[in-house]
Amino acid sequence: MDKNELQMQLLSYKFCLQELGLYLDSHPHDQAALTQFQQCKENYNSCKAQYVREVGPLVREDVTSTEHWNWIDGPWPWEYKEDDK
Amino acid sequence: MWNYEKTLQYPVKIKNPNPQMAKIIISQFGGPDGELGASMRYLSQRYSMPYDDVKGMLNDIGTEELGHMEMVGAIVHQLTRCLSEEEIKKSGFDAYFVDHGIGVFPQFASGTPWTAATIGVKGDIIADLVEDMGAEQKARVTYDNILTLADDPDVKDVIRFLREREIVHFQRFGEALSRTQQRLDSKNFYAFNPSLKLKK
Repeated sequence: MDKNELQMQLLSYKFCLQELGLYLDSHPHDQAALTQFQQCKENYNSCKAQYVREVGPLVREDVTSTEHWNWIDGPWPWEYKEDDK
Repeated sequence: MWNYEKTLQYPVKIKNPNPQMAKIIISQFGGPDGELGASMRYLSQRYSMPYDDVKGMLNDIGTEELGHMEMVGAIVHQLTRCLSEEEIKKSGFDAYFVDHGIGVFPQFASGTPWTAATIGVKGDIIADLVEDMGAEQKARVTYDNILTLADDPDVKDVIRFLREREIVHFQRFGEALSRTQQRLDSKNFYAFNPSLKLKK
């Protein structure tokens, strides 16, 4: 999977968590939604682990290097990259 | 408290700069019905809400709107990222450019700076939820207007995503209003404000 595909997969899992989260805010006892949230979370966690390894940190706590604070490395999310499709 | 995740909620990849569109789209960054206002409104309203589900919803939607503000900022930034002097003059972007260069300033398309005068925080659950439903519709209309004015498919794709989110938020606020009306005492629903606990 290339970086763009990996990022799209990450964004899809995050979106799933966001939508389920909003639904659960008003339906806090919905067992089906709660189970789905946990499943989505598992998918998200493994995708995120791969994303952090191959693309970069998502949050500052993802930084593991004791040599280089790669949190600040470009590109930042609002930037346009010439090789983007 | 807020943490930052180093990604947009949905990708913004605008191949072709267009300062004329930037002048319009900036209204969803700092305009009367834009994402900054939406976020501030919901995050401010949550303090006086009496019910956990409504606090949760305002908290989480208010947070999502910050992410939307970031996306709109990214669109404006990418639309103005490399401009010639001629393009700046011809597009009418010069009036903005003289004060802000290619900085992204929270303002209405008309140039009025963002103001909390465009948001409502009444401290009353019914007034606030109805305000929120109105706000989501106004944002949706603004996105409809942008879709009418824009031609670039890279721009329209992102705008359609943001517009869809407004509709989903509208649904959530409507459901919250309906649940709230069921909870309040039907004899005096407008007479009593559950957020107001006055000392005797």
